[in-house]
Amino acid sequence: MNKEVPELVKRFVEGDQKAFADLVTRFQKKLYALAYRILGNHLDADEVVQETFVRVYRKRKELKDVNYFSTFLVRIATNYAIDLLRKRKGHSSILEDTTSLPGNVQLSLSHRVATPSEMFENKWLMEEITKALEKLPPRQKLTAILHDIEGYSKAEIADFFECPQATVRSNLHIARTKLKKILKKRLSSKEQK
Amino acid sequence: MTCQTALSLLDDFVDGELSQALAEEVSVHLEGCPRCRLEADETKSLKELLRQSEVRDPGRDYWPETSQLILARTVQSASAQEPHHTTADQLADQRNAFVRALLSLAASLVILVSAVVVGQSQKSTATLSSPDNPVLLTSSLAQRLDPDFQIVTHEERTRLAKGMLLMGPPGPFGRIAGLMELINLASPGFTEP
Repeated sequence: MNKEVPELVKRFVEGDQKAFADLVTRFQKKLYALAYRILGNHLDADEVVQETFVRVYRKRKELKDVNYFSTFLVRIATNYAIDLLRKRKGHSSILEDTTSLPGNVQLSLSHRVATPSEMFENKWLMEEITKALEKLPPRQKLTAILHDIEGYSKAEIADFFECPQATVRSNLHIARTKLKKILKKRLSSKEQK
Repeated sequence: MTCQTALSLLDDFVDGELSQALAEEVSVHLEGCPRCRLEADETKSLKELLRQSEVRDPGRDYWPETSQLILARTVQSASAQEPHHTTADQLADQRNAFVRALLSLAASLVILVSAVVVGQSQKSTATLSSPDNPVLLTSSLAQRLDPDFQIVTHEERTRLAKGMLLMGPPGPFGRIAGLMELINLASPGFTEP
């Protein structure tokens, strides 16, 4: 499946609209999850998803290497998310009630059906983590999310932000130190379990 | 290995990004150093905790709807706008060319009519200037200096109309009034008031 992506990207850059539609379908969930973790609410995540694809479409001629599409996409998304975070600076985002999300079915993005207690626990955990992440400056927050949650390597993150890997290491270390302090109770209870 | 060195390598150690030799050195240090081991355990727990939080799916309908919105803002709007844009431009160009041609024609007509009228009035002035025509005598300089002098002769009115046509007196219809006056004066049926 992944082998198909460079071919789709190539066709998309050449102007194949069907290829673009396929790329949207393939990457929108991943992008939504990333945006939701960064911004903490559905509306902003939705805005990031749509705006990112619109920008990718407009800037497609700038994509020189088809293997670079994912980086291109995430870079645009994270930059836009940082802009939104800065705009909302001072207005602490209120974690929305998940029942207000659109659609009738609410499934976890991992496609695992959670039990009610797991759902409840996850809701609180998500809220706690989002609140903790909100206390970090945008770059540290994004580095922690991209590395520790989304699983991107330090080299990839350095690519997204167009900065040296040493900066990524430093941001990650500071972010982890702060998060450990903020989530101390949760971490100690987890260690006791 | 000192604690300082071990702590500086701890993030990479937890992330599994150290060479085997270095990783073994750090492991050995951690076995004998509870403080550094606690730090490493906390970092591992934080990573696990962050990964546990799952973003909730916004609903089954959300994805196709979002795809459609993105395509409407990119592919469809581009394909819909491009031909429309070209047609609109072409129509605007055609309209402008027609207006320009119309204005040129109107200007040419004005110049032509003016030339004919001025030519005819000069002809009639020449006729009027004949020694046999007593009307010329009434428009002498002495009469002009007279405050009670009134323009009543054909020559005076012709001169005034020419002046109005050339100078463009105040008012939107100044030149037109001059032109009409000249036409009137040049017409065969003209009679002195």
